[in-house]
Amino acid sequence: MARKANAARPAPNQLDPLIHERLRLGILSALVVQESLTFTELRNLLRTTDGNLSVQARRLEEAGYIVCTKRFVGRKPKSTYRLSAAGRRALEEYLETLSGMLPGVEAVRGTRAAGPLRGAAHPLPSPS
Amino acid sequence: MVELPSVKSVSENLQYIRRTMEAAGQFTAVPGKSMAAVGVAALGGVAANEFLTGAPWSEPHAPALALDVWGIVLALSLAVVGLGVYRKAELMRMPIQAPLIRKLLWGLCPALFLGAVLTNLALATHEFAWLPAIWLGCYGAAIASGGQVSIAPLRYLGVCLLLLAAAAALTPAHMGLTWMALGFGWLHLLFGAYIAWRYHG
Repeated sequence: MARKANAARPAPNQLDPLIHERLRLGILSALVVQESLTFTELRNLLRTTDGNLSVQARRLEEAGYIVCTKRFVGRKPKSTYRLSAAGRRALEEYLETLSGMLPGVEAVRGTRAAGPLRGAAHPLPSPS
Repeated sequence: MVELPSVKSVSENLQYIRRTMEAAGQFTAVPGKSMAAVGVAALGGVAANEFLTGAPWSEPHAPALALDVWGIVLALSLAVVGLGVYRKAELMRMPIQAPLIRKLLWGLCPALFLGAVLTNLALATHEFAWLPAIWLGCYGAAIASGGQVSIAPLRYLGVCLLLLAAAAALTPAHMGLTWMALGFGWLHLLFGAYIAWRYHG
């Protein structure tokens, strides 16, 4: 049963435990850049096992942070994941909180990352 | 909620996010060695072209021969790079993601399509002297554009090719093969060697 995304929303300046776990953080980070990724693509990208990815992805899905679409290609099932609006917002808040904890955050923001550390107001890139 | 992490742990997390985003959004399986091999093939093409017909391909049978030579170089290059991409992706254990490939193709194809159209136009009007500038320019534009979703050296290679295309367009037609040797040959060798060294293969 999917729970509402903001049902367990962390208080300001607190890290969302759902995102803080390394693999779940990886899933959300990858889906911020790519509009959608298949299970296999995510597994290879994050270098994890089927079982681990499956469990962690399901937790994000239950929280409403990602959306999973299942279909069959021939006889093989194919799961495709997308980031939901709630997931994007949660990751943005997570990054904001995390960045606030880093004293020299400006130095990191100055890197060439096309990612979370560029700009404070809209830190996440939009998938094209 | 999670305990407040240390500065080191925060920094590590941010770096992890950045690395993941870069890996997800960048086509990194660019095979440097294959690019260098393409450079060698192109230099062979220039030598064969010079030996068979020379530039600017104004002899009665020269255009067909020259096009045959460059057609072979193109086919060889595509095969070498395709195999190289596959092998490097395997080596890096990085997936060749469909969304990235789509983005890459959207970057590459428009300029390559334009190149095909202009080549056809040049052949139809017997304006063979324009071919080096067209090929270098359109290929350079494709690489610079496709490089947006790949590693930085590809974008610089694209820009260098565009500059050579401009040089080819502004200099006498008999210098066409020189610019092609520089662009398709030496630049690929140089950038290929750099990518192989800097990006592990």
